[in-house]
Amino acid sequence: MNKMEVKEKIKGKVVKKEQAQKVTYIFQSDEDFDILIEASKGQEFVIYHYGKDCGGKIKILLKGEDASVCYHYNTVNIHDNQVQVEVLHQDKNTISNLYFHGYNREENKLTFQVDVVIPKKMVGVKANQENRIYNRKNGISFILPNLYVDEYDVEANHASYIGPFDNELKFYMKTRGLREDVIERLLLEGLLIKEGLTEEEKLSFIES
Amino acid sequence: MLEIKELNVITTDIGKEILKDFSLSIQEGEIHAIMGPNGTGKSTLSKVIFHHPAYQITKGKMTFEGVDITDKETDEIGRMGLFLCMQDPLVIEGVTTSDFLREALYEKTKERVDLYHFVKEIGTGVKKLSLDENVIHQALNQGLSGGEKKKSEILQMLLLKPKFIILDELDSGLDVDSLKEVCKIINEYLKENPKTAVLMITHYSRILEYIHPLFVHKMVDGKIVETGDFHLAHKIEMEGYQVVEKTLGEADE
Repeated sequence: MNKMEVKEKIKGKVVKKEQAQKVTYIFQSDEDFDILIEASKGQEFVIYHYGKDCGGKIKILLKGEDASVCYHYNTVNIHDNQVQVEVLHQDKNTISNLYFHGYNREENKLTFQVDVVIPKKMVGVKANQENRIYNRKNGISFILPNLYVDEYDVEANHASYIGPFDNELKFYMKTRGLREDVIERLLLEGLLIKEGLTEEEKLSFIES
Repeated sequence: MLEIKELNVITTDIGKEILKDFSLSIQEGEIHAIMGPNGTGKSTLSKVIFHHPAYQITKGKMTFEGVDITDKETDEIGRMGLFLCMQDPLVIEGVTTSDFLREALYEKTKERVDLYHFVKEIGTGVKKLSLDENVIHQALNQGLSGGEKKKSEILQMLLLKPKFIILDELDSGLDVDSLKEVCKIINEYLKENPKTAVLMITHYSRILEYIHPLFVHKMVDGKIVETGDFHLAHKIEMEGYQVVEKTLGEADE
C-alpha cells in the first residue's frame, strides 16, 4: 500500500489524483514541513510541491520492486531555509527522479541537501536528481547532492546549478522587445511552475 | 533607415578591437548582404546593433529611423521594430512559444492580443513553415533540430512584423529544401511589407540566390573593404576572401 504522510504544516489544499498504480499530489507549504513517502511494489508517486519561504525534511522510501517517485519541489526563498531530502532505494529496479528548483530572492541562504542511498544488491535502480537555485541578489546558496551507491548495476545522475539567470538568454529575450521584469517573470514561471496551480495561485506564488 | 557611422567596438572583457570605423547605411526596403571570413566581426555587428553586453561602443553612432540608438537598451531596440534572427537560437526552458510571443506582442503594442486572432495567426505561420503544431505549446526551441530552430525564428518574425530584419547565417542548419522554403516565406513577407529592410550576414552566396540583395559588402578585419552588387558575391565565391586579406596586408606594410 502506498503512503504519504505530511507530519506538519502543509497549508492550503492537497490535491490527490489516483490513477491505477500512480498517485499524484499537488500541494503548497508556507511553513516548515516534514514529509514521509513510502512506495510499495509497482507504485508510482508524482509530487508537485510548492514552497513559499520555508524548508523542511522529505524522506522517501522506495520499499517494493519497481516503485518510483518523481518529486518536483519549487520554492521562492526570502529568509534562511534548508530542504533536506533523503531517498532510500530499498528494493530492485526502483526509480527516483528529483527536481529541486529554488529562487533565492533576497541576500539569504537557501540550501538543498539531497541524499540518495542505493545499498548493495539493489540492481536496476535509477536515481536522477537535478537541482537549481537562481540567486536574484547576492544570496548564499548551497546544493549538496550526495549519491551513496554501493551497487554496480545502477544508473545515477545529478546536475546542479547555482547562479543568476543566463545573460545570453536574457539578451535573446530582450531582442524581442521584452523588458527585464517581464523576462524575470517568464523565466521564474518556467523554473518554478510545473503543474496543478490555478492562474491565481501561480500569480501569488511568483509574486511572493 | 539604419545608419551606422564610424563605429568602433571593443569586447567588454579584454578590450579587443572588433569593429574599426565601421560605416553602413541601409534605406527602407533595401536588402543588404555582408559577407566575410570567420572571425571578421559579422555576427558581432548584429549583436552590437542590439547592444549585447559583451561589446562596448567606443566611438561612432547608430541611428534607426532618425533616432539615435547608440545608447538604447536591447529591449527598446527590439520594440522599435528591429528583429535579429539568430545564428544559434537559444532554448527557453519552461516558457512556451505561445506565451513568449504573446508577451512580446504586448510589449510592442501595449495591447493584449486577441486570443482568437493570435491562435489563427500563429497557426498559419506554423503551417507555412511546416513546423509541428505542438511547437506552439512547447518550451521555445526545446527539442527542435537546428533547422527547426531557424524556422521558429522566422515564425517569431512573422508574428512580430519587424521593420528591419537581421538574418545572421540563416542558411546554417537548414537543408537546401528548407532554405528555399524559408526564403520564400521571407520574400512573401517583404512583398507584403515593402518598406522592411534586411541585412543578411553570410559566408556563402547560396542564400543570396533566394533572397536577392541590392548591395553586397565584403567585410574583413572589422570593416567593409568592398561594396558591390550581386556580382560581388559571385566574385567572392570564386576568389575567396584571402585575396582581399592579402591586399590589405600588403597595404598595411
